[in-house]
Amino acid sequence: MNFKKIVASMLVILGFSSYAWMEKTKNQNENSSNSKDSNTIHNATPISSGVPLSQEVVYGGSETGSRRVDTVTSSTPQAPASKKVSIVGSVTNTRSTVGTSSSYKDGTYTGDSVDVYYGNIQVQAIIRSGKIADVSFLSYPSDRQRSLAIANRAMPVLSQEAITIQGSQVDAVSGATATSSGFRQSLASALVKAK
Amino acid sequence: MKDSRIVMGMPVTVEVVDIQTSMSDIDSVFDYFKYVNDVFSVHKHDSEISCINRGEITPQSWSADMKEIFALAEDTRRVTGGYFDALRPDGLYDPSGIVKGWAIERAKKLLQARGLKHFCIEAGGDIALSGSNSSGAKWIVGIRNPFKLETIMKTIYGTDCGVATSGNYLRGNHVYNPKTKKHASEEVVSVTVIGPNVYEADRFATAAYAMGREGISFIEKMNGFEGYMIDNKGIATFTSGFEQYTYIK
Repeated sequence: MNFKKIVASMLVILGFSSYAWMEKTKNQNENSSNSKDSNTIHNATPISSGVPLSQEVVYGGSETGSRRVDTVTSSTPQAPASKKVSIVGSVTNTRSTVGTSSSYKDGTYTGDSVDVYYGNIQVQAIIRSGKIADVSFLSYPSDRQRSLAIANRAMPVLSQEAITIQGSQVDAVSGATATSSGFRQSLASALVKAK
Repeated sequence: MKDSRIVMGMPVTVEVVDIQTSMSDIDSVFDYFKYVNDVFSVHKHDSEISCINRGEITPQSWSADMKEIFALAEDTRRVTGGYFDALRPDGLYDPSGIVKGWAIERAKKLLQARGLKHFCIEAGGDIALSGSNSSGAKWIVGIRNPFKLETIMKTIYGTDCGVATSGNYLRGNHVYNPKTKKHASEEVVSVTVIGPNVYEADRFATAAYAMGREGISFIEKMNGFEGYMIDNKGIATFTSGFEQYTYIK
């Protein structure tokens, strides 16, 4: 997958999270900045996994980004999400992670149209000064009430995040039947180029 | 003390931190893997498994290890609802899906029997962790980024557990779904499983990968296991207890 695709995927997730956030604001008339504590909704046993789990959404985004984007979830273990907000009946359990180190190219980018079971979602993101300035919706499903009911029952209750590249200070690497002997060498040379 | 060699057709790294470690400790692990390869490799003409597949030896005369592997393969087939099956579509037996994890776990016990406590054994991306690393902290394991193999995209911290990844991004699409007799879903790129030991982690990673998208829900239901699944869109889906392994404490 090339970088553009990864960015596009992230933006779709980002945009989708923002959409869910707006829904929450609309439905609960509650400002997200008040929701300091994790407010997790426990669902009825979902059909797909058979295990009752908590459902939560953590919004990813850049610190200086749109107000609609709540916070940055860095995937480094030292920096857990500063703020978590949960959505009643969110359609996916989307934990968006946006690497704070990545700098995007300025411009307007349209994400893929994503099938979310009950319709399609497509977002457009505007990047200024290497950061996400705004995310808007080109399309989203209209039959929201019905969608919620379907989504509550059909979606697996697991967390998700967009993958990001992390540092190489590790003792061992887990991968599918991997050639890890060349891993450190190759990574070291790549990091030299990245400087 | 640390060494990497190619054994069982894959790179194997053994690192032992205990101060009394000798080279013979390290050698013992590589020698053991060589023995396992000689017995279980379907690519070796004179291996025991090849002899079995040619019908040259009866079950009564199988080695104790072969009997154990067949029993474990049957157990794994049962607990995974048929998603693991050592019997291939061509009618030949290939237990390699559990042999690697089993061999690493055996090697771990071998080092423990030598009085060693702090070590990491990695074979082809599957890892047994014991005690602490050379800094006296938890072992740090990176999960390979399937889209950029020279990078890692998740760091986890563990001690006395096993980590294994099943996927299709190296060596072609090497896991097939025994139920449909087809290759596992290409939508799921890799599944990493953390379990009580590497044998358990490996066999359930293999089965979960074969299940496609449902695999991660299967891991969620298993007590003592956590999973991290990556799809072809670069989105990771992970189990409810996975995050505890992403903290260094």
